[in-house]
Amino acid sequence: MSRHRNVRNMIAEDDYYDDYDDYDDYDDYGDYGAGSSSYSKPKSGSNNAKGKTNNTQKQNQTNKKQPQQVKQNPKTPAATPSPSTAATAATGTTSSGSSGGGLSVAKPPPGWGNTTKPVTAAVNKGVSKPPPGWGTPKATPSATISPPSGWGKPNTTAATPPSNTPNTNNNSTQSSTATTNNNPQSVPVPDILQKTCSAGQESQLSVVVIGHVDAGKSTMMGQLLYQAGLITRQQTSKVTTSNNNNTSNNTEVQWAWLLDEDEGEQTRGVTMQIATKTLSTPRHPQIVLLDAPGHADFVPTMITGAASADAGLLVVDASSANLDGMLQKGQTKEHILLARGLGVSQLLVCINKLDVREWSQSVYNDIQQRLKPFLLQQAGFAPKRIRFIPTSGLMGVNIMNAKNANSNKKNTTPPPAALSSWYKGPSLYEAIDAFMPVKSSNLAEPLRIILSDVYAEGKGVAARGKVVQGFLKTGEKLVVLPIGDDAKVNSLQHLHATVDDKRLDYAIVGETVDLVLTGIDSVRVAMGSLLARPQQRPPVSLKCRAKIVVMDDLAVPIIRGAQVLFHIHHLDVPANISNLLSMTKRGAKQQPKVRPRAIPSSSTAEVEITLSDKICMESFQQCRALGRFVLRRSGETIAVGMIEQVL
Amino acid sequence: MKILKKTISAKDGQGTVLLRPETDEDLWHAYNLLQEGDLVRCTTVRKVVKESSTGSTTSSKKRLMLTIKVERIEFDSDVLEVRLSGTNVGENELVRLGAYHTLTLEKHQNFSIDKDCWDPIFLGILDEAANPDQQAEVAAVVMQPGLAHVCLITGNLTVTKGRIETNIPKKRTGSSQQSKAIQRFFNAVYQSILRNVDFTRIKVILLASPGFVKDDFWNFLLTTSVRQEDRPLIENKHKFVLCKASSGHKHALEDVLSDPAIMKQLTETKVAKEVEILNTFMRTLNDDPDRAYYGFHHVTQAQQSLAIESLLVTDELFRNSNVKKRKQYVQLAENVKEAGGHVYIFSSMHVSGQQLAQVSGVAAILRFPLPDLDELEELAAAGPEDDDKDDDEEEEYDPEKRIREDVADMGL
Repeated sequence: MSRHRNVRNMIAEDDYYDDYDDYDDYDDYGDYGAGSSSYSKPKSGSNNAKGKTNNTQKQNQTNKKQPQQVKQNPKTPAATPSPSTAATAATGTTSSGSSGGGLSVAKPPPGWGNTTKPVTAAVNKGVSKPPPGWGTPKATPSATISPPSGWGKPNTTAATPPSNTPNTNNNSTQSSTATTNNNPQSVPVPDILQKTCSAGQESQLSVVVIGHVDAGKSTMMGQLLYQAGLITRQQTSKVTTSNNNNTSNNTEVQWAWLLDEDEGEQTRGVTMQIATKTLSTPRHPQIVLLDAPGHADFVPTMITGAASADAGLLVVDASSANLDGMLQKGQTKEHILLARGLGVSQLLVCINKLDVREWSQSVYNDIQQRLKPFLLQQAGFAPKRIRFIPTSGLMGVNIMNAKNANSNKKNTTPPPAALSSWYKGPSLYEAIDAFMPVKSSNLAEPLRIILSDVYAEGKGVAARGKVVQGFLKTGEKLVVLPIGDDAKVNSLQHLHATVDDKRLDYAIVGETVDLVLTGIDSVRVAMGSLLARPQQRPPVSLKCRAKIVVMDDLAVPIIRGAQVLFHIHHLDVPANISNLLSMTKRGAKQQPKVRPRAIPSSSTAEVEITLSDKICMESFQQCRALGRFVLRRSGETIAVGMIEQVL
Repeated sequence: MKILKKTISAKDGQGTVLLRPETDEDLWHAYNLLQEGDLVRCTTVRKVVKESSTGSTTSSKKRLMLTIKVERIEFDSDVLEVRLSGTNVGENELVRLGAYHTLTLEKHQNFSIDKDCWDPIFLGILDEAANPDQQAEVAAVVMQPGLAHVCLITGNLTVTKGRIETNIPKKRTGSSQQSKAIQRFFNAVYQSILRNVDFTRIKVILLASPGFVKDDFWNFLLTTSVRQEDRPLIENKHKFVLCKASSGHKHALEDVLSDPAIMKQLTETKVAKEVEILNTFMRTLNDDPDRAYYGFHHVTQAQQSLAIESLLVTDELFRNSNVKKRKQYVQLAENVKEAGGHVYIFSSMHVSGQQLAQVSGVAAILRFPLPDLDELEELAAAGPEDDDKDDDEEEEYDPEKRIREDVADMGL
């Protein structure tokens, strides 16, 4: 009997890639730069898609030829639709329409929901890659077995069009969708946003800092902010002098306290909540740094941070003697898997506290050797998305090179000879700068803002949230979900001062903004609430069907009715696994087991989840941020997953 | 519970029992004793309408003794009472036969139950109710920032006395919003404890949370109780036990109760035992899946091989309104006992019982592995859902069949 605890071999773990899927939003740099060349020779998979491809190509050209015309009347979209545009719209609609109601359940008007999606997905995925993963039959063999008729199909069809729609040029995409938006429910993208976001605009990058407790995450962030000149010497002296009665060595600056501002965090020496800071680098004018807590008890907090991040910064403690245990237990492993499952697809590994090991290159290499197989095979990161650098947060070594720090040269620490003799790579600052940019997706998608922080302020409610889809303008009337109350966006403030001042009143996808909402009571808005336009509400539901990737070494298998905590963006909701649809042992080359009795460790499964309260959910295909979740039980992460269908 | 009179025929188990519930627990037992079709006699208040000779009506409230044939049973865990509704079967000059009435069973109020058959499970409940072994009552507070549950745990009941949910803003440079919100949250929990926990009856109060919330709250409680001179809290400081929970949701109580250190303090309470046996089941399911089975199909199969060492059943299944189904489970429990196995009846008011109920409500740990049972999977594939349907379908199936036969008879 080998239903549980299979001994896995390395080849078997290839499947893990598929489970996690290539759902990153990044293109390779090659694709990115050479967008125009690649779209001229699209690798369309099927013949019948060819016609569509040509149409869109033509359409791109038409749009390029007459950009003025499009921009002059974006608000009267349907007035003069070019024939080719109409064709795209038609094909999109029919393909989704014929494939059955599987996806359109989520969005009542099927035409609009599904026509725009493929186009945006095309922007995300680029041309050369057909979208692999959850939607395609390859990755979900179970799809063909499960009883609900035809749901496997719509997924595939919905996913197929984008790969055949060569649309790397953002400008043309936006204008084309603006023209196709003849549905009254859509909101035309204003001129000003089209202009500022046209030239392959990279949206704000969010970086979550993860790692085991006491690896030095906050300290390193403190150093980084200081060396980058975002924190003045006065501020650092504040955290030293005002608190030195607590610490014996009163000459040291408590770098971590720059982020751990809470009194409890400082006295206990542990980060307990996410600290949000901003940073600018030459390539990324807007970076949001999320400093996550490393302590096991605060993994739920870390999940909220990772859920809103695009890239990860893993801090590994090189000073501890027990490197073997690092991946057996502890938060290093859990954080990596959680971050990957929540959509972080590029990782910068800082091998920290290397000064304690006298900057030994062998220690550095050793850790790198141990981590790499895990990151590649188990977590499923792409090799080129992982980078390693040696650092010392406390000493401030290799955080920033003197040549980067224009005005703050005196803040940086020159690398000691022991390090510079063998390490010639980038500093932390440079490495962060080298993160792949996230391409801003289509602004015409329905607006979704997830609130991460809410408090009453004066007459209104102040809220901080991340725009995960679409765009927002000050003064708009939005609906707060799942409660369903209306609220007006009274003011909007960007975290960064670097935003183009022409669009200060606008927030676009990827940005984290501070909002002031009026017309609503503060008790009706909470962390994890969702803002959407009243005519484009996401489904609010109790049940969903989802695909889950079960962690290794579960204490207890998942059985039907298992009680879990369902962590989705900023919410945690008690839930139970109401049905086990199918299960595949990871690596086992076998048919998925239908209706299994239990789901053991290290497997992937398809399940139905019933929540105790209604929340906003969307299938992963519709909105990534609302379709990813983590299941935890008794303080242990048991699975990461994605919603396939809201029931 | 006081058993005032008990006349049960040894021949067929038919008989009447007169009871007086004295604690919340007893009401729960009463709820589990009752079944559709039982005759219950109890005092109640009913609005009686009198029509005079001229046709005008006067209504007045009268306290009377009524006997009803039970049709619906409800347990209200908030106010702790049992409500029974059914038709009047006793002769009464004010209420006609067959009139509907709803009785409420309350503490310190006698009532009698007349059953056609007192089966071993019912008798077991009666025994348990009659001999309360002075079980420890425990209060527990599970919390996480912004969410707390204040619960009372007795032998068979976990009652949520308070649920506190507030919004706590994130930390920000130079903002005191967060600390204010936390103080507000702590104060709400503090008030809830003060109001809901009767320290004369409670032996232990558990404060559980992930991280440092419990420590912060403990400090808050100490300073606030002294400042506000809340005697009950100051005098009962020693009853507080700080422990770890995974979250502030109610089912995190299970983590708290399965903590060995806490379990030691609570040994001999029913909850602790339930949690322990459920954990054993889960562990067996993981380590030796051929020795742990759940779902009625699998468990009965295992019983036929006399393999069951421990049988886990929720009391919900015995409360089943379907007599036939209840009999099946009673039979199963009896058979297991006869074969030398242990039967654990879980209270569906406890988190552990709720967890078991989610897993079809019946589970078994076997003496020896039975790998063949796995083959039955197709049979039991649909699981307990179909079990439920089986009985209903039989009833529904018959008329359809008859119609079809009729049609056939007519030569169509």
